[in-house]
Amino acid sequence: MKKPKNWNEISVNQFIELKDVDNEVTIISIILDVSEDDLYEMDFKKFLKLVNELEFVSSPLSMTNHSTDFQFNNEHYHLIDLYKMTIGEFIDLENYFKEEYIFNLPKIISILYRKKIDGKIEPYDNWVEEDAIAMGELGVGYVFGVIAKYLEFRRLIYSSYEGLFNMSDDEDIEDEFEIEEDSDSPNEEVENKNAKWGWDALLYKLANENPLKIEEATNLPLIQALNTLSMIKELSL
Amino acid sequence: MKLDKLRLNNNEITIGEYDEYLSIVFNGEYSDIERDTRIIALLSNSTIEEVCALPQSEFNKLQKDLKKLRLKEIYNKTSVTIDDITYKSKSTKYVVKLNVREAYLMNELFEGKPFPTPSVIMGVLFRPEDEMKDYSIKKIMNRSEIFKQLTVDYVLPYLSFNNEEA
Repeated sequence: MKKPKNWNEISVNQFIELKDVDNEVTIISIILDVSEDDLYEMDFKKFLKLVNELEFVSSPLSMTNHSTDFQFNNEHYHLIDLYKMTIGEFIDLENYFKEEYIFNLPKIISILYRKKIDGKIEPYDNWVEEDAIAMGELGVGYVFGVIAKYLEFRRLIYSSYEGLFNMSDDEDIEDEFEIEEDSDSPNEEVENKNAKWGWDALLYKLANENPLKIEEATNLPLIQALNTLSMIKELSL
Repeated sequence: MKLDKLRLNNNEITIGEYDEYLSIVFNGEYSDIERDTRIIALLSNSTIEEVCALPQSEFNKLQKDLKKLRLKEIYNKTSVTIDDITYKSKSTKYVVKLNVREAYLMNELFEGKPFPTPSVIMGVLFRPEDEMKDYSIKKIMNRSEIFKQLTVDYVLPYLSFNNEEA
């Protein structure tokens, strides 16, 4: 029975399983991958010792630390440059951050950390689902802080392009990560109007209202895409 | 009228009586006199009315005798047979052993209670030897009723269980 010493030795999948669990036996069962029945039969004093050894689980996971790169499953993964991501990546991340984003952590991580091929970050493609399965086994302590980094980036994007977005649904996530709001929220009228827009509508605009080119539009760099959309909106093109 | 001699030794008091004794001791609404009256009645097989009818000097003597009540057991009894069923605990003669389930159950059963009921502790810790993994509350409570007839020395070492630890 291998006892993890810190959050780096707890996998992303285990971290997801631990969500909302407060029974010590269940927590230890998840961490050590032993059955609850076996733990319930364990000598109580030994169990208390075990609880003490695994005390780190009751401390919050660092939201500031994260690796910029790591070796995993014989591959070298790198944190992508957020400002260079495509609008397709951003939209997928937005979808994964909806509601219980914790359950989407492997997918979120597999978008934010990618392999380098010939010195270049591999392009974004349909491998996310496949890579996410592997990312579930990654030590959550190495990467969880990247969520806060991404959410800060996301907040800057939303405040920079506030005319395009409605931020009202996102306050809960940002509160969780204690991200400070330093700009005023869009006024209600704009929020209501923007709430009607889905990402599909934005991509449709970017694709010059040609549905056949929507896929192509998703590959546009995020900043360029948002600038273009702002221009289309301002000039009512 | 003279009362029976107070029963003050381990082997003279049953677990059921000890349940009752603790419920009197931990009842904060009783005055000292009322508490002692009830305990004297319990340990002398008398009614409260009979104790109240005693001359003051006799009552004072019994109150002094109560201080001799010293319930202590050095060794753990780890099995007991009642009606051909053998009940066992996981402890050894010298070491009280609880598993996690037992500790959790006791915490659950005694949460918010002023004291852990000895007969219920027995019900949790002593299980039929062929049902050692059966922890159902219903069976625990049934067993606790059966164990009330045992002398208190069976349960005394197990009262050292620290409920706070769970």
